[in-house]
Parts: sequence; C-alpha cells; structure tokens
Amino acid sequence: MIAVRGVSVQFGGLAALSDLDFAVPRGTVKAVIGPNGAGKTTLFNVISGIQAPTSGSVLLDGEDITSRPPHERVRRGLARTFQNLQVFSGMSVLENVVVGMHARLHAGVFSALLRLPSGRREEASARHRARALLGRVGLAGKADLPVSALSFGDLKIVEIARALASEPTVLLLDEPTAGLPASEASRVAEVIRAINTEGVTVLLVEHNMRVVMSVSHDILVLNFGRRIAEGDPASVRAHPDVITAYLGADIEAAHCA
Amino acid sequence: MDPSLLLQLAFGGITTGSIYALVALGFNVVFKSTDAINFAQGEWVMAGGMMAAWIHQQFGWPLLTLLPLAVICVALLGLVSERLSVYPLSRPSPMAVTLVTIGIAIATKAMVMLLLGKQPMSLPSFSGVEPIRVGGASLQPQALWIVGLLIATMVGVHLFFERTLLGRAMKAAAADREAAALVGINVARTVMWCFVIAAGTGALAGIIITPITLTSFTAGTVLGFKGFSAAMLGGLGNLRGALAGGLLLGLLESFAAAFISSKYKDAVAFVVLLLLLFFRPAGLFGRSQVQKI
Amino acid sequence: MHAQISTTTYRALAILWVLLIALPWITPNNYWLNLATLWLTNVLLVASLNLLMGYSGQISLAHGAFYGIGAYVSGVLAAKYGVSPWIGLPLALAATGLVAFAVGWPTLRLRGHYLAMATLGFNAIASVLFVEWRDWTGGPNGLVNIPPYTLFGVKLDSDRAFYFLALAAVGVALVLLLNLLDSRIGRALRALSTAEVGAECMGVNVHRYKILVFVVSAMLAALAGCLYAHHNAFVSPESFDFLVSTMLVVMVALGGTGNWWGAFLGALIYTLLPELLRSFGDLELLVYGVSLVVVLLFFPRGLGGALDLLCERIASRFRARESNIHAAGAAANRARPDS
Repeated sequence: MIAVRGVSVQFGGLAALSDLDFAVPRGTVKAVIGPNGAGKTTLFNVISGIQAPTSGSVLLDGEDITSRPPHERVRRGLARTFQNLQVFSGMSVLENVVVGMHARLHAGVFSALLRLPSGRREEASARHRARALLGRVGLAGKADLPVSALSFGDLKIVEIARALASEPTVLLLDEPTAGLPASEASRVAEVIRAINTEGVTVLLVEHNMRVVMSVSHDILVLNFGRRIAEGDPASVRAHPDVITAYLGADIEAAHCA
Repeated sequence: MDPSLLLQLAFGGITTGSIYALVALGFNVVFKSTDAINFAQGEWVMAGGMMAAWIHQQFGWPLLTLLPLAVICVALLGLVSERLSVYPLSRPSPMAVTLVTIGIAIATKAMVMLLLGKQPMSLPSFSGVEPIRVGGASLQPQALWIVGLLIATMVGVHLFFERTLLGRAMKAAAADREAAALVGINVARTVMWCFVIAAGTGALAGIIITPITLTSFTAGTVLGFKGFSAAMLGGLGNLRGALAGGLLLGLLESFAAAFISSKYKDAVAFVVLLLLLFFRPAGLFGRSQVQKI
Repeated sequence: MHAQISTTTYRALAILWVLLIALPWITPNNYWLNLATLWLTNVLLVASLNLLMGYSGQISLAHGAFYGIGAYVSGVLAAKYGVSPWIGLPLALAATGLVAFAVGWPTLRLRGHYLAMATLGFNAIASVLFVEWRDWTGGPNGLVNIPPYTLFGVKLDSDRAFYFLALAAVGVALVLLLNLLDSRIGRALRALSTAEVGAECMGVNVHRYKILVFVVSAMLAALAGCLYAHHNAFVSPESFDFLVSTMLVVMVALGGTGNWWGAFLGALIYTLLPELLRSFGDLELLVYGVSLVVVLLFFPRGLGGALDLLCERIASRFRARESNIHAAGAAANRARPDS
C-alpha cells in the first residue's frame, strides 16, 4: 500500500501541492480527480520519485521511500504510466515491455560482453513473458511492430503492459484513457479491474468519470494542490466542494448514475 | 606582499578578464535563445581581430573606421552563418544547434586562414604605447580602451534588451518560444539577431585585444574556451554573470600565473570549469535549478 | 536514432572482417595497407564516441584526450620503464577508465549538456599536462622510442604484422561492443537515450548507465591510443588536442549518430579526406566544416542513415516486385483451366 504524509511541493512561488495526506489501502483502486492544474501529475511525480517534495514523505508498505531514486522504487514494487507517454521510440512494442522487466532481470555487464548462455536464456524467457503480457492486454498481434506504428490509444495500453512487466505491487496510472474513444476506454477499465483482481494496488489519475466510477473503490479529489474531498464514489459525487470545483464532472456523473 | 605587484596583476587580470567577459556575453546571448553552446564564438573573436588587422595592413585606414567596419563585417558573417546553417534546421534541438556551430566554427577558421593567410597580424594600440603609472604599477592605455568598451557594450546590450522592442521580443522568445510566437514575435528572427549580437560583440573583443596580443587564425579556439568558462562561472545565460565571470576568471588567471606557475596558466580556466561543474554548475548568478536526476 | 543490433549485424561484420583479412594480398602496395590500419584505429575511435553520443545523447569533447591517455600510459610504461605493451594495455585502459569515471560521475548527474563542457575543460587540461609533465611524456617534442608489440619473440612492427594485430584487436573490441549493445544493458541504454524519465521509472539506473557508457567509450578510445603508440613508435601532444576531439564529433555526426555502420563511414572519411586533399592541403579544414553543416541540414541521420534509407527503399522495391510476381502467379493460376 502507498501513503503520502504531509507532502508539499513548491515551484518558486507556486504551491503545486500543499500538505497532502492520504493512503491507498492494499489491493484497492483509488482514483485521483480534480480540475486541470490541481496537482495530480505533480503528485504522481513525487510518488514515483521524479520530483522531490519540498516537505513531507512517501511511504511504500510502511517503508519511507522519499529519498529513494525512481529506479529503486521500481525494485520495491512501484510502477507507473505517463500522461504524455514515455515510450521508447526506435524499439518494438515487445522490447518496450521487456524494458519494464529491467529491474527483475539480472544479466550484468560481464554476462552481456561474453554473451553467456545464462544471460541469453534469461532474455528468451523475458521475451516470452512479455509476449504473454501483451496478449493479456489484447496487443499480441502488434508485439513486433515498431512503436511508431501504433495509435496513441494503443501506446497507452503498451505503457500499462510495460508497467505490469515489472511485477508491481502498486501501479500508478496517469490518465490511462486520455485521448481514447469510449470503446477503448472501457477496455482499459476492464484491464484495470483485471489487474486489481490479481492483487495489485492501483492509484489512477483520470478525467473520464465513467471509468472512475466503474473501477474505483475510493476517490481523492484535489484542487489547487489540496485535498478537498475523499471517500467512496457516491459520497464524493454528492460532496458540495467537489460540485463547486468540478461542475462538469457532476453533470456527467449525474448522467452516469 | 608588494602592493604594486598586486596592483599590476590586478590590471592584467581585469584587462584579459574584460575580453573574457565580452566573449562570455556572446555565449550567453546564443544560449538564452537556443539552449545551445556556440562553438563559433571564439572564431568570431578571432575573425574580428584578423579582419581589422588585415584591413589596416592593406589600406592603412584609421582605427576609428576599422573598428565599426570589422565589427559589422563579422556581425554579417554571424548573420549569414545563422541563416545558412541554423535557420534551415528542421529540428533545432540544443544538440543539433551545438553541432552546427561546430561546423560554423571550423568553416570560419578555415576561411580566415584561406583568405587572410596564416601569418600572425597585429594592430597598433588605439592611443599609443606609453604606459600610465598608477600606484607603482603600469597600465597600458589599450587596457583602458578595453575596459571602457566593455562597459559601453554591457550597458548597450542591457539597454537593448530592456528598452528596445526587438530586445524585449528576444527576451520573450528566449523565455518561451511558443508563447512568444503566439503573440506575434518572429522567433526564428530573434535567433538570427542573437547570432548577430554574439558575432558583433565577439568581433569587438577580438579587435581591442589585438594590439596587446597578436592575432592569427588559431587564436580563436583557446579564447573561445576561456570565454566559455567565464560564461559558466557567471552562470550560463546570465548577462551580469558574463561580466562577473569574465573579470573573475581574468583575475584568477593572472594571480595563478604569478603565485602558482605560469606554465599552468592556460589550465586555470579549465580547472575552474571542472570545479564549477562538480560543485556549482549554475555558476555565480545562475539559478540553482540545475536538476539532478 | 541508434543501431538495432541483430544477427545481420554480426554476420555483416564477420563478412567484412574476412574481406579485410584478405586485404594484404589484394593491395598493390603498403601505402593502402597502412591506410587500412589507420582506418581500423579510427573506426575504434569513432565507434567509441558514437557509442556515447548515440546511446546517451551526450557530446564528449575529450575523446582526443582519452586517445592520448591510452597512448601515453602504455607508451611511457614501455619506453621508460620497460613494461611489456601487453601489460601496458590493460593498465592504460584502467587508467583511462578511472579518469573518465572521475570526470563523468559528477557531471552525468546533471540534466543538460554539461558533459560537453566538462570534457572540453578536461581535454584542455590534459593537453597542458601532456606538454608540462616532460619527465614522463617528453614534453612538446613528444615521446620517442616506443617499442612495438611482440608475439612469441617476434616484433609486430612490420606493416603487415601490425595490420593483423590491429584487425584482431579492433575486431574483438567491436564484437564485445555488439554483445554489450545486444543485451539487457544495451536495451536499457536505448531506452534511456529515447525517454530518460521513462527508463528511470522502469527501473533503469540512468546515472549508473550513463557513466558505464562514458567509461566504456573512453576505454575504447584508449585502446586505439595503445595501438597507435606502439605502431607509430612516437607520440606527441598535438595528436590528442581539442581539434582531434572536435573532428571525432564531426565524424560521428557525419556517419550518423548512433548508427553502427556510420562509425565505419565516419572513420573512412576521417582517414581518406586528408589523403584526398593532400594537394589542396589548406582546404581540408573548410571541407570538414562545410560538410558537417551540409550533413546536419540534409542528412540528419548522417551518411549512415542515408545509406540505411537507401537500403530500405531497395528492399521495399524488391518486396513490391515479389508481391507483384506472387499476384501475377495467383492470377495466372486462376485463369488456367483446372485439369
């Protein structure tokens, strides 16, 4: 489970996050919603380690990981996707997913230089596992295509597969359905549910309220870097502060209900 | 400690430091608009000095005509270089622009060598060679010209960026290309002007130092590097930093040569550079926003 | 942006090496043989920098210095202390690796083009030291009397003998490099050179890998230096100055940054151009400068990249022709009455 305690992030005079406190219980799906500029991506950057908080701490399964660099957090079971994609261009879809396994593979410089059989075997089994993962998210047929050949929507799913490849206990999904048509979005929602059923804790940033309502156990609402509401979908939807800050979502949510 | 010796070293340091400051200025101006390191800067300094020296040699024109003429010629060279090699870049990433300036630097050096010859050349001092005695130390009159022109240039550049429309447009474009473009600023044009200013100020530096040190087609490289170190010392992109960094570097070199060893004098600028990178990459006035991974 | 290593790459390299082994019997005289030897050393140099520029996106302006440290360490140990060049080799590599580590560790932690600046400074300092530490390096006049490599008592100082030594050494180094690039580590390098943040968040220790690339790159340059020192029998500081470092950057860009075969092309240009322009001596510099700009503007993937595109076009035309043939065959089959 992942927890954030008293986290603040200051960019010069701008407070992107102010004294934020929350936790995601193990095995649940928590959605973070809020208007643009509310600090959601900053929050993800703090949790994944790209952004150091001005104050506060991040805990993963009780361990304080605030000072740990991102690659070490992956080793401890934290994985994420990116709002604007951080796919590795020039590589195939399969290879992108195999990169996700980097922390779980062991072949080192020596093994690489001499092409030791143990390293080659490890590579072969990694590719096999990656292909299976792509099959689970419905991209098996595109595994050997270069990433430049895939649509934005497909690439978002590639990123999810890649994050899963690191065998995470906590998965951060940054706007996984942004830019996707409704059919694709519900497919992503299914994938998220399936991942969660297998025991992975999920924290997601989303604007699509239908997806949020259908997958989350719990919702956190941010505005101006502060928490303005937290709780189960029904109570959040009715919360006056949320309605004030996020009128559009309220109308959409009313249609969803 | 003999105070007149210290004074003498200080004079020497400020003189060379002023040149470094002018070169640093050029680096900063290009860096601000493109995030790239302009390798041609040193060659423009050399071109200015060489051109002035050559014209003087061929036509014997007075210095007050030579100075603006050579500056304008090299500024034009900067303009043409930018139009031919930076402007057409489809993706002007910092790495691409940096590489292109390497090409410009090499080509400029080669052209000067081919057109103006390999012989070292010189210019007469602007106002005679009679040293001025100040507090037991002697000061070359050329040094006063150097410092004077440095101050005039710094003030001029400052006013340009603060008071003129073009200057403010350039500042805007440097801060945020897209936003500037959205308000109607021709961003590509501002990059061109940056190159023009860098070439012009570089040429000026080259001309005013030539009476003291000779110039030849190889003189640009080391001068460029030292100017770059000065720019880093002051904080890349920071105009005030160019002044401070240049003068400080000049003084450090001067004193190191006297108190440590003159053999390693040329290494001072680079030791400073490395130390900066290891401990304070932002330099003296740069924002400490150099992100660590 | 960077090479996709596959079995084809290994095979092509093997074929090239077989052809190169036959070279001494094909060339009319030793002039071409020496040129080929020079080319081999340059391939190593350009490939070393290509590795760095292609896989970490950083420019180094100190590869001339690393080349020099390799040459001087091995050369001084052999010429002044009688150390066998075979022992000098690993020592030179280790020394260069250590220096590269010291320069790279603090600078590669920073985002931005700070390595270019640090290496610029470092090369300048190295040049001064090559001159000033006369007791070891022989000063501006250079280091003389560097003995050649010997194998089983035989001195490898003839043109042919040294050619084979260079062929073997460079061949082994390139295969090791290919192995590195075609591994989990190579994949991590490719990842971090395209999306650094993404790579870091996938578990790649970006800082450590950048340093690895820089150190390996420096050591390859040092290997070239060792070969050079023990063949030339003499080294002097100008061979390792900033101009050399800049030229190497130009060659990498000309060949195509990150392009495997681009390094071979860049080295070819670097080796042949001075020869071709011998009669126009002074034009050499101008040609380099203008070609760099031309290549950057019109062949952003370098000449290696342009070649790749050409091969792709030819390959796709073959594929189109094949599918046309197949289509025609299928149509003919349909038209033919069944017997």
